[in-house]
Amino acid sequence: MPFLPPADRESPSVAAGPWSFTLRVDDPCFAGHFDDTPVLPGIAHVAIALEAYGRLFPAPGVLVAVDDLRFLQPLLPGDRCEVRVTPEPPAARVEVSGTPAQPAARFEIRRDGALASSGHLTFAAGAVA
Amino acid sequence: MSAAVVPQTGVARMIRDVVHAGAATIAATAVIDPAHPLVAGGAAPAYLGIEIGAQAAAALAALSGGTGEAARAIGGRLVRVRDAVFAEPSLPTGVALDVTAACTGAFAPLSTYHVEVRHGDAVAVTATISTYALGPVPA
Repeated sequence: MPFLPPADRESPSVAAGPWSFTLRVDDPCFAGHFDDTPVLPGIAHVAIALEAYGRLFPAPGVLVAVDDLRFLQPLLPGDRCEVRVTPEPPAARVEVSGTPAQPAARFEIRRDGALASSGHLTFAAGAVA
Repeated sequence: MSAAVVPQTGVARMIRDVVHAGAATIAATAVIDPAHPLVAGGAAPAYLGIEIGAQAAAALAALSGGTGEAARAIGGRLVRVRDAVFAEPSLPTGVALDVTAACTGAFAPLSTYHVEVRHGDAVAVTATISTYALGPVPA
């Protein structure tokens, strides 16, 4: 189930992000996590980042690694958020033994302007032009 | 041993049984419910293994108090993930996965664990996670 509103392909600024969204109070990711104090699971932050990355690269390839993932504040039902994904320049990627460099990106999710989470995503090589 | 030592409930709870729990390590089985909200097309994204590892770590935190079956789930927050590697793009749903968590450092309420999720003989997910314990979940 998507977290972001439908893509607006007619607006270059929206197409490039960042994307604003509101966490639905009845989002199923809150169910059971936790009963008294619903909090968006950390992995859902990754799902949001991947959804945003998919807006930049419709065929993003397979996620193979996540690193430097930090959670600074919880996301709660009804929170107004923004996600920004910044593809890593190819020159910054490490190429080992002739293996094509792997596409990568950093993401940030903010809640009311304050950083809620950030992390680094790495995808299988060759999936993104 | 009961999996009620994790604070998640319903489809969010993936730990099913604790196989072994020591002072600093735990082995458990986990099942991803096909109805989990992040499951799509019958497959779970591999990064769900991070959550499985976090739940194993939570069970270890609850059980390492030495109260066994009487242990209460400890609420907490995932605060950091490093070096998470996914050997496959997805994890199967509805089947038992093996998960281990080993505490590699702690200074309450912060703890760091190395977690590993296996499907059969194959390592599917490894990661280093850090958690912040909030305290026992009210009964």
